[in-house]
Amino acid sequence: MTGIGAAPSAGRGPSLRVIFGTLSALSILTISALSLMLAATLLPRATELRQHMQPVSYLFGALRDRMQLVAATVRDARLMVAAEAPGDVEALRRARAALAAASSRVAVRPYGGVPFAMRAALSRADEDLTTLENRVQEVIAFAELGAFPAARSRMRAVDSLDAAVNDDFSRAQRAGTEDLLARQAALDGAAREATWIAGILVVVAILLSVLTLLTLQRRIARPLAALSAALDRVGTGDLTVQVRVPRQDELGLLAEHFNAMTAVLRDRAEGQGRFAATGELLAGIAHEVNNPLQAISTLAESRVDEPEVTAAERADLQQILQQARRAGKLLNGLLHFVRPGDPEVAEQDIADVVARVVDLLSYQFGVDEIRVENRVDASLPWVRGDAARLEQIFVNLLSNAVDAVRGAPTPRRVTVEGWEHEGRVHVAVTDNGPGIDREVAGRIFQPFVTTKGARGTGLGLYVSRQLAREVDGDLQLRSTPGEGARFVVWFPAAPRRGAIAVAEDGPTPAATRALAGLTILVVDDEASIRRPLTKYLARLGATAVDAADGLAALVQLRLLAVDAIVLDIRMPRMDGVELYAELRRDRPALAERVLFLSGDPQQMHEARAHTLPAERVLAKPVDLQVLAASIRRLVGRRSPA
Amino acid sequence: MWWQGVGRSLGTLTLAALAVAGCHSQARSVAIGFAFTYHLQTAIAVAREEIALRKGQGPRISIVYDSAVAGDPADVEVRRAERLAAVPGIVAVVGHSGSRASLAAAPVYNEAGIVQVTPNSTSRLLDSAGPWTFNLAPDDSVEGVFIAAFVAERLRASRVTIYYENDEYGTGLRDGAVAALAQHGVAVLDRVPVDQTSDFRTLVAASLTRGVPDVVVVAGRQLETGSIARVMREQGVPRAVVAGDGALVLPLLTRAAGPAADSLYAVAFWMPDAPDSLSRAFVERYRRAAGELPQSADAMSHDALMLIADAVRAVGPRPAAIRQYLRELGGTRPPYEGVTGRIAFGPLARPRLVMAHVVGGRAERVVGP
Repeated sequence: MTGIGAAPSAGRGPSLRVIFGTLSALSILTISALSLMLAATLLPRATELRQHMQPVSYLFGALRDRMQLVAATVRDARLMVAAEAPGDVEALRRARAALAAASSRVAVRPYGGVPFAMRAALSRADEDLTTLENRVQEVIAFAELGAFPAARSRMRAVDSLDAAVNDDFSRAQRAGTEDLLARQAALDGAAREATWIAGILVVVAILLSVLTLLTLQRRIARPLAALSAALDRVGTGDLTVQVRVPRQDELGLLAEHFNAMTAVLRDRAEGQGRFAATGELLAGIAHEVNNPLQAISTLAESRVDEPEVTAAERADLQQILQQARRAGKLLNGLLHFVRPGDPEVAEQDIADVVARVVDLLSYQFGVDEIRVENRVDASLPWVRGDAARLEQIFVNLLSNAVDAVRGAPTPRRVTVEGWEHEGRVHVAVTDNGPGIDREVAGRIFQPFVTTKGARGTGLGLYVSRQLAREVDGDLQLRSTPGEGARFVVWFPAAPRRGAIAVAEDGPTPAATRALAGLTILVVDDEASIRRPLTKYLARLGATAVDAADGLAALVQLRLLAVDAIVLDIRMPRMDGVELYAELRRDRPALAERVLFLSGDPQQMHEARAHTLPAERVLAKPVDLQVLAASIRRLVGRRSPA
Repeated sequence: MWWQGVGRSLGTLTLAALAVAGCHSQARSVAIGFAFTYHLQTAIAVAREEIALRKGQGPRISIVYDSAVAGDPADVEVRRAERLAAVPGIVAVVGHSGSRASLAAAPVYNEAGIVQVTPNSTSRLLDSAGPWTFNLAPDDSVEGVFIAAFVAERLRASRVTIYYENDEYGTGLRDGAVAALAQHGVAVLDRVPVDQTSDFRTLVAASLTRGVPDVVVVAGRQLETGSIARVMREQGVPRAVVAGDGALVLPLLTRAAGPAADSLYAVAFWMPDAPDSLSRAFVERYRRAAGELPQSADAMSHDALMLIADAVRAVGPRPAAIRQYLRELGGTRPPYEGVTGRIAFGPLARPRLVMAHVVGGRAERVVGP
């Protein structure tokens, strides 16, 4: 299912929603059909049988009761005739009353559901019973009148009718039994029919279940497994993975999104790889450039205050010094951005962050004739965050602004404003470009949304907003189409810092003999740095000695009592990190008085440099006054007034 | 097997489709069954004539006559009903002859979904015979009250003997009369079941030993009623004999009664001397067809036939529609104006009962509208 390269094209099929809707409907239909068919097959026959049983039972029961009453009276009448005595009046009355009670005919009552053959037989028996009653009445009448021969004659008719009634009743019973058996057979047939139907529907249900399982396997399980495997590979760093898009259903769309996402990630990883390589290259360059810059600035700064230097020469030297420092600052800023190191959340001066970014992009602004107004006041409260990440936010916003106004007619303006409101520090980046369409504006912070076409990844604003939210801030677009774009980022204000104490040991104008009485060891493999630096320190009254690397420094330290060491980090044979480790082990007091110089300040983030105290690392090219002040702070000496 | 069920269903659907396709032609030919004894054939002839006169209004209506014999057993009535229910195009049946026969046939029509209109059956059991059965005559409780009132108030009797035919008609009328007589304070001395083959002399003689009545009430038909009247006179106890509607079939009643015919009174639902125009017209047509006067059963049967024909014309030949039409009479529809009066099956139903006295072989109205 997974493969590298372009995913195969997808066939268009029914969506998963349609498939599962259909399968669900089919399942419901099958179950409903099963229930309905069973009900339609069995219920009418069962109901018919039940409805049939009730009147049949009633009719048979009622007729049997009537027959028993009549039979009892017939017995009495027979006894009376046999005895040729009418019996007492009360007995006659009882007999006639019994006949009257039995005279309620039953068989013609209109009960539905009784088979007509049975009804006919019952009716015949019922009517014969009525005739029998009438004849018994006559027998009793004859007996009452003493006409016993006539009574006996009539009694024979009674016997004949009695037999007929029994025949009719038996016939009705047979008819009823046959009908009952027929209905039971119909019910049995219906049950068999229902069994067949149920069996077929069960088979259909099983087939549907199998179909459902196969569909689930084919349409969901396999694509999900492929996606899962692909995600695992992405997790291991393989961004070349692509999943097959079998069809344009929901999972197909998901696979397409996955492929698009890995493609973007791959491009981004490649970009970041290049970016990282650039960083590495830049670090090397920085080291190589900062050292000459340090040499230039040291030479210039050490010469600038010499009395024999003319005013014109001093102005030139100051120009050299200023440009060298500017070059160093730009280089270090670039390094800081390219190799930010591990995030470190701390209170940050937002104005300083913005200024650094503006400086970083100043060349771009100049090339594209963009006037940048940085109105972020240094008096704004600080914010908490990682400096590199905060810089990234503003690099993204300002880069976007540059892109937005680049094609716009002049004057092109980008304005950065800052203000505080309700405990939040707001910074707005506004450009006078074409603005952002309302449709795009609604999803501008979604990943992969870009207005730059192939040049953009569509991740800048998305990442910027995420970074702002990581520190409980946010990034919003407040833009009117056609009138430029205005992005406002805000952060919670950190507790306001006290006034920044002006360090007593901070940079001060160079003072003669400021380092008098101190013995300072300068360790740098670059003689062009080491020597002017030693010369400068000596001019401040220090006894300055130098060494070309760590090993040479150790030799010097065995010969001299040194108050402070200015130590380059990257050197051949024994570098600054190794020397510092030796000092911490053998001469810890002296190790506390080591200042480090680095052509690549970002190398402090390397693992082996973690032992170095960051507050004592000075980036090349270092301001010599700062260097002197730092030395004084280390040795506990104050500059003379 | 299940496929047989499917096959049956398909067959039923096919028949239904054919029935729908053929309903137009069937709608032009409608049959009304008539299940009565032969002596009512003139009533049919008159009804046919009237229906023919209205030709062109609705479908062609034919009357299918399945002649009965008085006293046919119940199983014969059931088979007769099955025959009529199987007649193509039949929508309703007028009949059968009397309560016993009507009750025996009612399940057939109710299961077949065919309207049954009973013209002169009085058993109250017909009320629960089924939704397709409609009874024109008042039930036996109403008739019993009428007879009791006549016996007590007009004949001023205080003791009666009741002879009854032991079927639904006779026992129903007996029970209605006994209850009503008790309310008038009239004593019932004896209740004697009879049928056409009874030994009336013995039964009457034995009954007279139990008490001599002022009036004899007979809940039976013409033969039993006439025979009892005759035997009473032969026994030297001439008494007025009051009978229910089943007895007033002339001249059979007078023949059975012989010289005692003048002692007979009988209930009728209609008399040919009714003064209204519908009655006069019916009597005229009947006399023209048969050369004699119609009797109550003729008029009732005629009304039943014409009522159904009217329903068919009004709502078409569907039995369900005809049934609904009959139900609505006296409710959402006005009562049907028949020869025997207004016919309705709702609250407006008003029984018209007449007490006739047989005088000189003819029935004369003595009580009633």
